[in-house]
Amino acid sequence: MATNGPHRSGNTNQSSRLSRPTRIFSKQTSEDANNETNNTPDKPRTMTTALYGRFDLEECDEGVKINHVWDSESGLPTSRLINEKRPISPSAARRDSHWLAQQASFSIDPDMDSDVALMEDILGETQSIKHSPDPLEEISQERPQLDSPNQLFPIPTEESQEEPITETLSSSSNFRNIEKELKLNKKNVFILSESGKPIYSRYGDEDHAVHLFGIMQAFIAFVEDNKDELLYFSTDTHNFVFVHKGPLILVCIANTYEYPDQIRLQMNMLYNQIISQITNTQLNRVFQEYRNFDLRRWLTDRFLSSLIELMDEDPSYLLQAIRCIPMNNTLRENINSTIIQAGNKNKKVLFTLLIANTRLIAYVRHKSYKLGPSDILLLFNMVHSTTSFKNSENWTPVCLPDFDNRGYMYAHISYVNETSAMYLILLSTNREAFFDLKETHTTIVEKLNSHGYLQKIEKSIRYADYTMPQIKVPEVRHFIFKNFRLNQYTMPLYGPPYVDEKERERLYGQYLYLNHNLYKPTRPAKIIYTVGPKETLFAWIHKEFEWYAVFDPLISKPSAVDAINKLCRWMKNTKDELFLRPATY
Amino acid sequence: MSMREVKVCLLGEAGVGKSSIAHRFVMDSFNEKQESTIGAAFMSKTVKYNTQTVKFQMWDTAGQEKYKGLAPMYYRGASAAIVVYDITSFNTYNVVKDWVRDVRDTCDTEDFILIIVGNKVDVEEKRNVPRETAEKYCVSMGAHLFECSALSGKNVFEIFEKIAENLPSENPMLHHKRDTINIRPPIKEKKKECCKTQ
Amino acid sequence: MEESPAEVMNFCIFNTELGLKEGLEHEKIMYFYGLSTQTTLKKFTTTTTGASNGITQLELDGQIKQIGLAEAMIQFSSTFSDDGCHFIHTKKTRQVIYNPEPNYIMKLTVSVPSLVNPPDPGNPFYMEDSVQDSLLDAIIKQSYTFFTFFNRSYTEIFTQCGVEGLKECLSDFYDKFWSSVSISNLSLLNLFQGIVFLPLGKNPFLRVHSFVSCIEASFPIIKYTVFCYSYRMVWCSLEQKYMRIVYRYLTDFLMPACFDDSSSSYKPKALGKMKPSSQWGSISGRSTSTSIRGNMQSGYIIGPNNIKDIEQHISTERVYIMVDDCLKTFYFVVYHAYNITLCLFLESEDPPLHKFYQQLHQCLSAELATLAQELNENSTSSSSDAQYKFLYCNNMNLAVKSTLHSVSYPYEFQASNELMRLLADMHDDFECSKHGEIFIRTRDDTWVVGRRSDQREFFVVLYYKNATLMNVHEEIRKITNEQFTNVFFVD
Repeated sequence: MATNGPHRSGNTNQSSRLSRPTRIFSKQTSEDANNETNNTPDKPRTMTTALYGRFDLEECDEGVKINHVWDSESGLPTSRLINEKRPISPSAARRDSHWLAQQASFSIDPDMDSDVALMEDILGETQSIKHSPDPLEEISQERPQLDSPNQLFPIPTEESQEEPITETLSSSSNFRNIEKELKLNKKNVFILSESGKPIYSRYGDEDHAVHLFGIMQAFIAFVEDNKDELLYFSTDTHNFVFVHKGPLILVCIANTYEYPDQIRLQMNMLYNQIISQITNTQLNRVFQEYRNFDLRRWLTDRFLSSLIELMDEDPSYLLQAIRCIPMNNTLRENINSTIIQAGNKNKKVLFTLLIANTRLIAYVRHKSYKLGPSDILLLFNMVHSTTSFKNSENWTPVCLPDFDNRGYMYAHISYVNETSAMYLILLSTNREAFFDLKETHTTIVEKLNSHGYLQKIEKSIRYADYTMPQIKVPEVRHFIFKNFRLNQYTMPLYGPPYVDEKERERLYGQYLYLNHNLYKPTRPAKIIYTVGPKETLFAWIHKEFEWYAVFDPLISKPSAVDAINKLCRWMKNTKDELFLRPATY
Repeated sequence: MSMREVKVCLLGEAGVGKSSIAHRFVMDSFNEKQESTIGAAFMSKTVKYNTQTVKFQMWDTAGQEKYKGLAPMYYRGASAAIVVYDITSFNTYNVVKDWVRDVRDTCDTEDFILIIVGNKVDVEEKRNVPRETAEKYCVSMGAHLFECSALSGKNVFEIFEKIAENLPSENPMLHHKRDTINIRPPIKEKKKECCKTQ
Repeated sequence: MEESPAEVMNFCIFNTELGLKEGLEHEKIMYFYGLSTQTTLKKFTTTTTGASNGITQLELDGQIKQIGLAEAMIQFSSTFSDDGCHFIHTKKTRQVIYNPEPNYIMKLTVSVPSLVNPPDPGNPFYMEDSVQDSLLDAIIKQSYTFFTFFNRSYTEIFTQCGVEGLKECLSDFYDKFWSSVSISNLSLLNLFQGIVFLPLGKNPFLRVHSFVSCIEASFPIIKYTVFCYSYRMVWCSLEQKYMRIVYRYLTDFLMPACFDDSSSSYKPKALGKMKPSSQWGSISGRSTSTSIRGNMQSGYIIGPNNIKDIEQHISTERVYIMVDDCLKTFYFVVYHAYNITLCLFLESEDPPLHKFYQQLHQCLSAELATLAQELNENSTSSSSDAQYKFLYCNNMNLAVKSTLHSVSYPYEFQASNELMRLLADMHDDFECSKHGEIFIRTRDDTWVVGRRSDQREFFVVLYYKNATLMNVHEEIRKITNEQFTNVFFVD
């Protein structure tokens, strides 16, 4: 399906995404040297001075220069772009930025209104394209047709509403305060556009750390100019991980137990969470057309912050696996058949997930389609991050990147009742299907209730957690077991000595260590047995499962092996309760 | 006694208090930490008005720009729209006009009830939008103006009373059809005739 | 699938206090090795370039950019961390930064090995974890230690000889250093910087001792003596720190350069061009001492090339050693005969005369023949047909024992590269996590075991198919008893 209106498709093809990120290192090529627009036009600045200048916190002036740099990247008012209908060539951008810089104020262009109208014209055309047919009639297709993003989110028309850049300048003392703050955080996360525009900062106002964003962008650009890719750099305590994906740059600066490859995985999850809000297609397009686009207007920060927090301690993200509520198989089957019956009535539901907090209770999918664990985790996070889904039924577009990063699905999200932690997510590809899904939801809840299943589930949720003494393998202090085939994992409650938060964090660090060693690209391990000062660690990877366990540091190997065998038997006997098998419509 | 279903959508800039107004009306409660709506929230409440029972079905839409494209779906089949602004922020008032234009474009029927609501009168001292300005605009648009406070509850129920009061007399045929659907066991929320609008 | 090995791409030393003015950044560069073009990774075939002589503006710009990036990253990281940027990982390169003295920063860039998949040659797979940070860190630190041993610190040279003097010193030393380092051949041995001692009975050991005492008594100018036999340490009167430097210098650089026998499958690429004598010192340009061919001949490695040629100019080597908190300089002489390598440190204001060399030679050549015979009879060769390989290191006395490397240069690995890297990983774990014991079964079912107790580390690679954890546990117990009867590991 065509997603572009005729006017803009021409544009997108030509405009280069990362046309010349190195422009701030103005002396790099002769072409660049000629195009110098900085404050010192006749004196080329080398890359080094460009970078050095930026660090000089005493000199507030330098901060201004940085912003000029961004300006020159593409700080253009939309109106001009639309009028001229041309790709942003670097030199043109430079001219425009010059023009921009000469404007005393950055107030709204008086011609704006007419341009907006023109823009709407363009959009009108795209919107007139009808959305996709019902996916269920097209099962033969590999993937269901999803709504194209631009039907939902028209390309913005108020580019010049961006706050005047001069406002983002902070005094040098402000810089220093921010930096003092940043040092205290164990894990900073920054997201910026390829042109260095701040999009997200985990702590503090990203506008106050504007100079840091410029530097991070410069690092990426410098390395990429050598046809290389910056992965990370490290000090003895911190890792500075860089991920350049699509038009975005994600940076994580962490003083944690995590290894850079694990942080990379997290940054990819974050990227996916962004995609889930605006689709990959839309993300790429908006930056192709407006390099200086302020993505913040489209993002819900809460999703990102919540995800970062979850990833700090929830093994789901490390393992890319789901955790379920254990319950007996009969109850599971009953829930599944209830969901299937309700869903079969209108055939508009593709996936139904019954969830309590961030743990899965039931999952029914259309027989031709599957959701990967990373998509399900994004859905978990979405609901986990906000209270606004409580007390109402909700309808929201969501893109599931692993499933299809090009378009939207529509989610009906609603709790089963006011007091429960249990909620249903029903997914459809039909954006008008709200009332159908609402009915399905109501039917499911009603049936579950009338058969007494709801009560039983609530009871299962209450007893969802088990302890090591309960399963009678006291030698094992804690373990994590991942079932590869089902992409699910189980673990007991953290018992002593991991009741203290610091200790639990340290234990998680041990799991990270084991995981890292199991998955080293060129020398992966199959079994790891490590005796440390505070615990003995065990990890085992098998074609069916992946297993991490922690013992007392003084345990003898025979007892450890014995305990692992005991745990194996227990796992075998209870696997049907611990893990759920998805049912299909 | 007859039961009428009325579809209402709440519109307006992010952060003006659409969800708070909805929660005040539906649950008579106020949440200090109301988080921004994701997509759209659907809520319903049945009230008695004179001899009628009116079931309000509300779309509480997200004000964030990125969800703007979704809004037309919620207008469809709506009998009333409540466009909310924050009396302490003139910008949110300015945006009201855009929303009104959108609504008028989509739901331009004679019976359509348009209500413009200035929220947050509990912080009168920070008022930035004079009542007179809004009033003048409302008259010109044929809209009703309310100034309310979701925090204190002041004037919130009155908004919905106004909608009930202004409902057009029902089409007996259509009404009959609705009734038959409504007789079904008391489900909390019933399927509406959404498909008709498609 | 073809694997390209890790190689040194460039190395630079810069002074952060210099070239502060815009446009004068090149003044920071004290030394630059390797090519820096805008399309890095292009394999450089040219020889090394000094920072100042005969390079193009483009190259200079490239060098400045390298330095600028490093400095920027150091600065940036200080916003978040108390230490400076140490390692930089890019897809194709690895960089290590070392700050040995205030204002001086050393940076080494190494290419990451890649696997080229013939159907898709344009898209090689870069094996990021095949280059290990700790190994690069070890080699850059070693390069500095060696430099100061032969030249003093950068700051001192700068103060005494000025910028140009320092640049010259750096160039003399590092040009040779980096051209003979093979990154892909680095291993655990480089991390330990340990010493392989020759196991000797009491009597032969006393013989060596009395021999050294005798020499030192006959030539009072000799202050310290280091005695090695067949790449193994027998006697050393230097303190441990210097013993380590001298030993590693002999075994990693000097002797390989002298006795590069073509039978070895591995050859460092630049070694052919190397001058075996005196190649590390401050004075360059001496020719190969042709008299030494094969290990059985005798003569000076550092000293006069031809002892019979009285007219010959003898270039000398000086080293700097701290004695009682005071940096003293010594003349450094290396003599080799019958597998015995003798390093002598002469305390003298003036360079030793030809007469001294001659007398010493006479004295040594007579004695060493019988001594070598005796040592040869006494040293036992360990059997290598075992189903396991091990490496042991005692960080207290720096003793290393390894069947994972061949006995002499080029120390070929006796296990796969992946296993060798795994051992280095284990060592890193021991360093940072205080783990005492690590058992790893690799995906191809080899067991690798590392143990650490106090300052001792012990690594074993076991090639038993289908061994269980318990089997391996038992086996390790046996090996420990066999090999280290007198060393106790906490079980």
